[in-house]
Amino acid sequence: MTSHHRREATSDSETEPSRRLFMKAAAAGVPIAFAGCLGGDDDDGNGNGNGKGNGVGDETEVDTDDSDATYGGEVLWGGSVPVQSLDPHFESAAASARVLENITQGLTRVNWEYEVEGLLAESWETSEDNTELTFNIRQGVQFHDGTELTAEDVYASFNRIEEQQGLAADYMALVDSMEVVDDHTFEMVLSEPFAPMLSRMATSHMHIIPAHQADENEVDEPIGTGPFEFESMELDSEFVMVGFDDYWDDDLPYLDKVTKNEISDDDNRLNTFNAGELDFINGVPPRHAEDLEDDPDIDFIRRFPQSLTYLGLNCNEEPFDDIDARLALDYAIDKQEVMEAALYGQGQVATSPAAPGSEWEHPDLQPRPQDYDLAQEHLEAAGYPDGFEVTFQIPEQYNDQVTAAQVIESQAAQVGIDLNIQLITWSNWLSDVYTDRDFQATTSSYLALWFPDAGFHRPFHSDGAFFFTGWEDEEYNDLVDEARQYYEMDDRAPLYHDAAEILQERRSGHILLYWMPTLMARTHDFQGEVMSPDGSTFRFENTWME
Amino acid sequence: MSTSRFTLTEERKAHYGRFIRQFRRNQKAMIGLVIIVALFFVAIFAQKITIFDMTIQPFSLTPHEPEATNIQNREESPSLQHLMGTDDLGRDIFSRVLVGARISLYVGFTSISAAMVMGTTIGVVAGYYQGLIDEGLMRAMDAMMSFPPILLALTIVAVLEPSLNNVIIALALVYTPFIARVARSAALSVRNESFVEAAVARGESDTYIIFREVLPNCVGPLLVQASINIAFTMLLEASLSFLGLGVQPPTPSWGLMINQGWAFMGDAPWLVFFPALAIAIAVIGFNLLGDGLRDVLDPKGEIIE
Repeated sequence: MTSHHRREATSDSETEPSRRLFMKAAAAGVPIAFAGCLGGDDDDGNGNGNGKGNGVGDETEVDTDDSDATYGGEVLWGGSVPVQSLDPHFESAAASARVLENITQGLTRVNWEYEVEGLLAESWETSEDNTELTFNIRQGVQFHDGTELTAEDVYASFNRIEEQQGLAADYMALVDSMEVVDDHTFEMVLSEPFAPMLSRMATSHMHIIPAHQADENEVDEPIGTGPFEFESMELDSEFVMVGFDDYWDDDLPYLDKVTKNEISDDDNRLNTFNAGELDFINGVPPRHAEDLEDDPDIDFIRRFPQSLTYLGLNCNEEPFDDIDARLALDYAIDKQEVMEAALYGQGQVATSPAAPGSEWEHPDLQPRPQDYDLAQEHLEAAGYPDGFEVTFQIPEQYNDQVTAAQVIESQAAQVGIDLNIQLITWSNWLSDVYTDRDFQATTSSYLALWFPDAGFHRPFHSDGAFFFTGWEDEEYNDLVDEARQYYEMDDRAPLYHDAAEILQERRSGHILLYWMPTLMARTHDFQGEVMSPDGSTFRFENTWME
Repeated sequence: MSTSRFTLTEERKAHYGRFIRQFRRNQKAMIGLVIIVALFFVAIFAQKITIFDMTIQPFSLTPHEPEATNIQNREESPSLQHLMGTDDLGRDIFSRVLVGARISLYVGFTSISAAMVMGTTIGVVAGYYQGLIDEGLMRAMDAMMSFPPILLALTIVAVLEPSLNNVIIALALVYTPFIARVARSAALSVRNESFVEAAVARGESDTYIIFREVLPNCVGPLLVQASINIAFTMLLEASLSFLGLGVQPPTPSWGLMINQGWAFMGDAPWLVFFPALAIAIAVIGFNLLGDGLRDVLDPKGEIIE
């Protein structure tokens, strides 16, 4: 058995059967003969039959079985968004996180159950009151420069995040003290129980770099403990990483080299792939997905949750300060049609900010159906029997949102809600809509929502890092705050289910539209599960070339 | 006094008669005129026009609602049902191209009218007074002309934020200097004519002389300039919309249709082809008319005597 299964064994106690669990079973060697049937158990969640066949909209099969993997070889990857910088603690772009996942590592990582498991920490203990976390650091782990990983490196990395105000500095603010107990024991004392800390440690924002590099202000070429080491990078052109010979897991990686060609143009990238010049591409344009899916020479891969697209309403201003006005718009929108139009049926209609198919997701919650009569009733209750007019600011660079906006506009017009579309640049969106909150209605999306605190706290909690719609609900805030204190999924999940109901029933300032998947295509030569369970980053360690 | 006015009108009538005869004989001008009349027909009858609950134009040429999305029919190739196919949201491109004519003509005419009012006033005043006023006004116009039109329009729209009305304002400002230069040179030559000297000798006010004596005699070259520039404003509107700084979706501007159809060039070229064809026809129409008018209204020989 390969190392992968050892890692699976460290995950927490069994939970109810789920799609994710099924995948784990498949990974453990259960024969796989269910291709295309994976959507079966969550059809009620999003399967408003669109006449396009069963598979569309659900994930393609996750196959983590690497028993027939072969060593050596290079994969040529056509990437959608260029890597700009590589400082794990400061780089927020998803494109950088995608490669950093292979170079640097955290104390924890996410598994296919959306739970955190140990990575550089073999295990951890929590004190009675859940405020003291003691990590047992894995032995025999080498950095790419040959130095050995110790608790000192962990301390130095976290200290850097705190002192230099890295992206995870808000999390470090909850740390009262840190201590290097011995070479392989690291202790962190929190000011209050805070479960999301363990999830955040799995992201590159809290990855571990050697102490001598943590002293530097800028990290251009991170030294990590990952299965691949940074080789070279030419901005907007090429990024190369090579397999690390002394990786602590002796079985991995299989590949010698990963070369990423930066090809930003969607059609260009796809054409280059079709011409046989690449083994693997991400960012497949949704409208070509169906053709690729039907192509027997190509592996088409669809993974959630890359991002969640929503319709944002300003709850501090007329007309959307009135819940009835928000409900009227909600009832006017056919989310399935919006998703079909924007993503050619490749996405999933969103019901809550919890990752689709996870235990964090409310099992029965449904989006409001389109109902013009109810929309009209709510318009009257809001005092706008003839409808109203608002500006609808859309970031122009996201094609799916520009398309979605036009469908929403045409649906809302049916009940007299005039949405005047205004295409704006992303920098204007950030300054006017997000920072100044000078907007009435808008669309945007959130990335990396695999851990529930990211989805429920950042955009919706009044103190959240991305809070901007002005919708405030004390009961909601209390639930999300309370959920942060529980370390076990079984204790936490029900709180998020309740929170999702509040978001829906009290019509928060976000009308959730759809989950956008990561769409990828590859030749049959490139094998193994390349996606990380977070739905956005890649793990090349599990892949090989035939 | 009254007899002299009468003979002047007689004289003008003769000019107009000659102008119409020559215009009719000019093939280019006539083709241009036919295209433009057809465009107007399409623009007016494309859709119902309702102002204050009053339907002025009761019927509609468009077979489908140009803004109605229907994603079941997305990206369909041209057929009898959809003469120019459908776009990525299932909207009928034929209907959108027809309504697009209305937007193009509306933008073209309003912006050129505004540019004519501003440019003519500036040019004629500069040409009549000469000296410092002339220098000041025309150097300001030169400064504006030193920017490429697309860049200046982009800057103005970016500052004002993109919308149909701001595009019109930007285009009017961009084309004002072009009109002003023509108006000034025409005014300069008219200024030294004997009837202007006579008016001065009669003791008429400057305003009277500028607007009653000088201006009417500058119309010819201005008309030529306007009819050529209107083609450019329509093209520039399309460019601005193409760059995402003009008309906002879902309004069917030809430029915006090309912008949104661009991504589909490979598998659904009709999304781009038909709006582009419409722009080409409209631009050719106005250019032919402008060229024809120039041939006929030879500024020195005919209208201005």
